[in-house]
Amino acid sequence: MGDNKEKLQALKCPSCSGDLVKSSRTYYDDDEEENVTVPLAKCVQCNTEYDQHTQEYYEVFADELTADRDSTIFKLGLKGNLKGVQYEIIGRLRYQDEEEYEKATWDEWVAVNDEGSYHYFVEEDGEIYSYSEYTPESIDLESNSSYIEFDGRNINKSDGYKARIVLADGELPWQPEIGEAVLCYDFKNGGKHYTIEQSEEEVSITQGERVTHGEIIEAFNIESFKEIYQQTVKKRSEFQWKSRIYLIGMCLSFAAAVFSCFSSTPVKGVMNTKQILTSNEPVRDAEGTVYSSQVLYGPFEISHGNALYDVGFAVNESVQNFSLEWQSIRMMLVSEKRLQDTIKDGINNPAELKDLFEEIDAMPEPVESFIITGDFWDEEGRDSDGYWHESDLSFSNDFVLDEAGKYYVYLELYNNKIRKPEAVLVEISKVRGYRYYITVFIIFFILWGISKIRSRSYNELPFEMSGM
Amino acid sequence: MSSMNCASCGAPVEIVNRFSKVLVCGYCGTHLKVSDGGVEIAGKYPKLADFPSIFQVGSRGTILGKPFTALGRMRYKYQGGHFDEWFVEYDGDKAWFTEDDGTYTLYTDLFEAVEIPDISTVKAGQNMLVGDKKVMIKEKGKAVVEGGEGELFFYVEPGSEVIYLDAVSEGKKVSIEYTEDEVEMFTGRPLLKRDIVVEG
Amino acid sequence: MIRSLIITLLLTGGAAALTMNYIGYSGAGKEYHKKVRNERKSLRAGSGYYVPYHGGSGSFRTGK
Repeated sequence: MGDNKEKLQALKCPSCSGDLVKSSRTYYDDDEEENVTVPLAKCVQCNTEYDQHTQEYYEVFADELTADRDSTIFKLGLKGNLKGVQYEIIGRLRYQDEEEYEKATWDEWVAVNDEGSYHYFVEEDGEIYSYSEYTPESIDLESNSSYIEFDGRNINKSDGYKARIVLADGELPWQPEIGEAVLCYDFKNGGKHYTIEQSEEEVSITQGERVTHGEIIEAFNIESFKEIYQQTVKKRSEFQWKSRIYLIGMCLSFAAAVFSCFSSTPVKGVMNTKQILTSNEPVRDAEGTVYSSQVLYGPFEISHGNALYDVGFAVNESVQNFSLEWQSIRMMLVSEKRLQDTIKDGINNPAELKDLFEEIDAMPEPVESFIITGDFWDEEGRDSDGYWHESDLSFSNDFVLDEAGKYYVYLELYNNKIRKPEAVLVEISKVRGYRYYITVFIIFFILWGISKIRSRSYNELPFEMSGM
Repeated sequence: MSSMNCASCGAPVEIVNRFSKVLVCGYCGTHLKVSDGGVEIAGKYPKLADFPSIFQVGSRGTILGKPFTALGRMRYKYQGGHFDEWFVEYDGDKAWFTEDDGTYTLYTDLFEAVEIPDISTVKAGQNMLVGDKKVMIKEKGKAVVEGGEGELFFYVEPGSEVIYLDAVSEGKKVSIEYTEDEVEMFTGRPLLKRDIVVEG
Repeated sequence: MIRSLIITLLLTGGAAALTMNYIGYSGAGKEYHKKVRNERKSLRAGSGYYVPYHGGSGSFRTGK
């Protein structure tokens, strides 16, 4: 008995009267560059496939597209008074966008008002629109192939989309069929929303405006939603305020980071005095020959102790080009006082200085105040993407220097080609730190984003609601 | 207003509007053609059942603040249900008022015997030149005349099929009715119930 | 809302405090000396704790 009933209800293939079932097809999508599986209705007998451009497809998939049919603010039979007009909800249509494989539905609730006219409430993507019939001053749907002329405005026909009826319920002005197609154009003109729905039998033109869920709940006196609506609105408002606070935090930390980033004071005269201790001395090892140079810049005055400094290195290409080679740099910041304490009068003797710096790493008591290492490189080659040429000709580092005073910069250079030792630029600047402001900015950004999303999406209601 | 007697049952009948062409006897339902010499029987049909409408024959009041008298109606049946087309005297002139599932339209301009393209080729969304008016067809449908009552300007025998076109032109609603004999076009405007005040 | 206000103040204040006190930055001078002195002390006598750096590599881009 049950089987017979099921057979009677089964959807039939128009070609062979075989049963239609849900199926799918997988194909390679050139744009997505991957296999894509799309749903289809299929005849079990003749294997004819019905895609989303056919009525049969919607008859087969209607159950999936209407599974959440009760998750709506409106219900059949609901009566209310919106903006002074009485309405009664008498019918409902659910449409699916034909271009979407996923569920992309909206509900059109048919109401009669106390004027006796039909009125339409549309629930779509968490928004509600109230539409009534509209007679335009001018309309031309067919003269131009690319646009519709409507009240002096051109509406692109390419903005039109096909909608398919997947649910019809209650009293309706006509008898729709599941899968019936309607060509729709939605647009705004002069602050109003308009919809043109064109089917083979009829062209319907409606004008509407957005109404809030609160207005609908109030107008139709929907008790069951009142409290949870208020609760939802309250929570969203709280998240809205939170997002504003985090936005302020974001602005403050960003401003602090920008201010810090651009408030650097260069230390003057770093490269004014130079002593080249060695220049391009070949050093041979198992991998070949490298050239070593030693340069001492200074003394120069660092005027602030207990402050943050940034030291930057760059290839000075005005002195010598840097092409398909590498250079390793070891820089030491040495205080004049400490250097004097170590070699006394030898500070003015290049040979003694050279000896000192050659042994500097072996001294039990460190002479230098800080060490920085880095590399410059310029390379080319070929890989699966073809020819490449890349280089990195600068680097920097920061440190907190505790004492002001006179300092030297000692550079130890190793290159695979002979290079002028003075072709390395050194700049020291007193800077402000900004890393924590950037970190906090990112945290605020995440908190702001979460709050913003929650202020729009928090929902205790059984239906989607965007805005308030 | 002129008084006379029904050619079928002899009951007294009176014609209120000078434009009326057909009168339905309120007693026996006989359709009487109005001529200079009096009335003659056009056909005998059952009386129109008492379908509810905003008007009754003889209803008076105002539409958009101007006086009207409901003289008679033709009732049509179509796929979506029924609609009434009332012949009214409106502000001293003739007009038509349609009531379709609670949607009201007042047609004040009539274009008789208009030329239209082959009706079988007309479809929704199409532009059409009717006389000197460019209209856009919103809907094409078929209706069957169920009957009439009171005084009528147009007369179509009950049971006849009428092809109707609902259209828009220059901000007005347009209704075109097509029968074997003639084509009429009305232009008018939609009404809200509050625009219509029926006395009593 | 109060909580978010407190979070904002704490984060902003914390960032400012860390920045002003140079927390997390490498120290030059005494702090460096102390660190290096300790490193050198901990090395085994005669092991040679510094191998002169001859720099260079096969390819910086490919990391080889």
